[in-house]
Amino acid sequence: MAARPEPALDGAQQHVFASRHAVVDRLFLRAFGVYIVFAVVLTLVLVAEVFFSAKDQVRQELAGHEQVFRRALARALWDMDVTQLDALARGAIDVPVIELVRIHDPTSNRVFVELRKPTAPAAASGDAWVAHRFPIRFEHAGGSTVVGEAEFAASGAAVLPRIQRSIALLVALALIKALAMWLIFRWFARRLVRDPLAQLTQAAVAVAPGAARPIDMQPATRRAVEGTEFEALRDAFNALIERIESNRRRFAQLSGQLEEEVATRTRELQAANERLGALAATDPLTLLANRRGFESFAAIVMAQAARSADPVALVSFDVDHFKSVNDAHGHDAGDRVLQALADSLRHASRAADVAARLGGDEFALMLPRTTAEEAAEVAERVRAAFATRPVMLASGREIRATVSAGLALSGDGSAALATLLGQADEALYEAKNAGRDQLRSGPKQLRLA
Amino acid sequence: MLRRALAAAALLAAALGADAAGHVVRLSYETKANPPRYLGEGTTIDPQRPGLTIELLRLVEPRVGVRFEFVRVPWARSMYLLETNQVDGVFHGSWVAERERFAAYPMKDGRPDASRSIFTQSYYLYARKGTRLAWNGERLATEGPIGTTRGYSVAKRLRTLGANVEEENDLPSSLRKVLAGRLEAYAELENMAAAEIARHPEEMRDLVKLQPALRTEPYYLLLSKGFVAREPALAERIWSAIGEALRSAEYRELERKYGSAT
Repeated sequence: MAARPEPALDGAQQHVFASRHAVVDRLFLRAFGVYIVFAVVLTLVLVAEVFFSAKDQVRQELAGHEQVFRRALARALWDMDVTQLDALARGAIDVPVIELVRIHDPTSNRVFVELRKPTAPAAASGDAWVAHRFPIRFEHAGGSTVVGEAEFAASGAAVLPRIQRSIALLVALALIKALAMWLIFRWFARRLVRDPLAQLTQAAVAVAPGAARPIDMQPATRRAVEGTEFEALRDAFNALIERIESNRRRFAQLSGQLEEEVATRTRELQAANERLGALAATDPLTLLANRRGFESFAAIVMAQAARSADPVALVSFDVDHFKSVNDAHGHDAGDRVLQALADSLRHASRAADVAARLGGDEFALMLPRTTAEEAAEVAERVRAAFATRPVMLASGREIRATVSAGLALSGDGSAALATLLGQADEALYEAKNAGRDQLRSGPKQLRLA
Repeated sequence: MLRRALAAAALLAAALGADAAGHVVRLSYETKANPPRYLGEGTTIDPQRPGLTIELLRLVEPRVGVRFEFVRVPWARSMYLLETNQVDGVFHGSWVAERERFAAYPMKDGRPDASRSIFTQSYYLYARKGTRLAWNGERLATEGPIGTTRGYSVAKRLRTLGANVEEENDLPSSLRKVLAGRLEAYAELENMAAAEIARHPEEMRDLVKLQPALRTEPYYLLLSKGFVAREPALAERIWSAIGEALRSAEYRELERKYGSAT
């Protein structure tokens, strides 16, 4: 039987494969999720750093303005020149970064001047403010005297505008980084994992037994994953397919051989059976029908004769003094005598006649649609041929033997075979008694001289 | 720290009714020279010749059993320190009703007790020669602004007279402003102005002192409200001792020492 390709996976099965979530997407989502959290935290840290450094910068600027105003403030406070103090405070509040100016005497808790920018929050200076406080020290010949304390402050809100751009940049960079990471990772993940996997899966799904070709990826994908596990996977899969295919071919070959073997054996068996049947109806020594064969043929001939009411003749033959031949010359000589008689029967009888060795040196010849005269003529031809035919022994000697024959006839073919055989034997007995080497007819209605 | 401990010990001694020696009273006076009342500019005090008032107060110390500590700050600052009880006393101040809010004067029958003042001094107007300012002791006619030292009570008087007053921090530069025409005149205590003019006779020769005096007042040792509230008896004793010391032989010695001009 030729190996017929089995169908590949059907649509439903293929769909099951196709609808699986790509491992790369899952890997991607998880890795990227973690990265996003990480990036957010990092960005927040950076934003905080920007904020605090901006705050420090503001504080430093405030401290820088201390240097500008310190001496003048000390002078004005020393002189208690309120006009000057007020002018200085107004000057200070005009400085862009300064939103609150407060000059007071910590000893007496008196506030000399407190100015706020209109934009500044109304809340008191506190955590929301970046404040720079410094003692106002008046230097004089006798040393220095602290005459008050000043506070220059910027509201925390004032810090925001100057870091807006930095923060926007940070956030934008984080977003761009994330996007770039996304695209790069996606590109490589698809190229290095998803595509080879998808292609291998597709190829594997398309594998049909009997038409199995090695699976592989597209050239670009193959180059991309050269030397990776995908190649190993592909090779392992192909080795598996190869093994399965080879086993399948071997199996097909073996089943073919087996079928052939069975057919041969069956044929041989039939021949043997036929031979066996033939053997059962044939006498192996003379190759004439044996008794069983004779009876089969005779039954058919008799039945036909009875149907058509044709005459049927039967002649019995028996070798004269066969025992003596055996005794004098051995069984081999006996066998040759029997074979010679069989030859004579074969040659002398007609095509429709059936000759048989019924056992020992006893032979019979059935002659369908034959009259007594015709039968007697055939029988006589047999007797005469046998009597005149020398039998060559193995020793090279030639001997001669004779045969006695008894003829019976069923004129309308209605007689039973056994009856016919009995009548022929009776006639044979008469021929033996009459001196052998002659033909006698029975029953009485037909007599031959 | 040591001083604070000493002060505490002195307070304890005073509370026990013992001699109040060592009780520290902090006094401040101006950074300008007011010869001979106090000499030298700035915050430094010459221990040899600090000035007549300082030496007068040294005479008071043993009489009352206190020790005075002196600091020099600008006048307006002195007023501020007195108001906020950061000093116990300031000299010299004339009586001004507004000052009663934060300063205590030696009083008698509801009026400032001139007998316990330190001295009497006068304010004059100093102007450039040829000034168009007119002052007859009653009325003041001026177009330009008149300067005076920040916090001086004379500013109020000048305003009452209808002047446009500019309070200044520094006497020499104020006098130069008068010479330059930026101030029409400068109202200053006679002694102070004279000392400054004497220091720069060439530069200041075009300055004239306008008669009569703008104001002549007794000048007191002002004590802080806080101090008086804390030590009312001591305050009275200090003021009284000033009057006594002024009449003492030691003070006449001092007047001789300082030449007691003006």
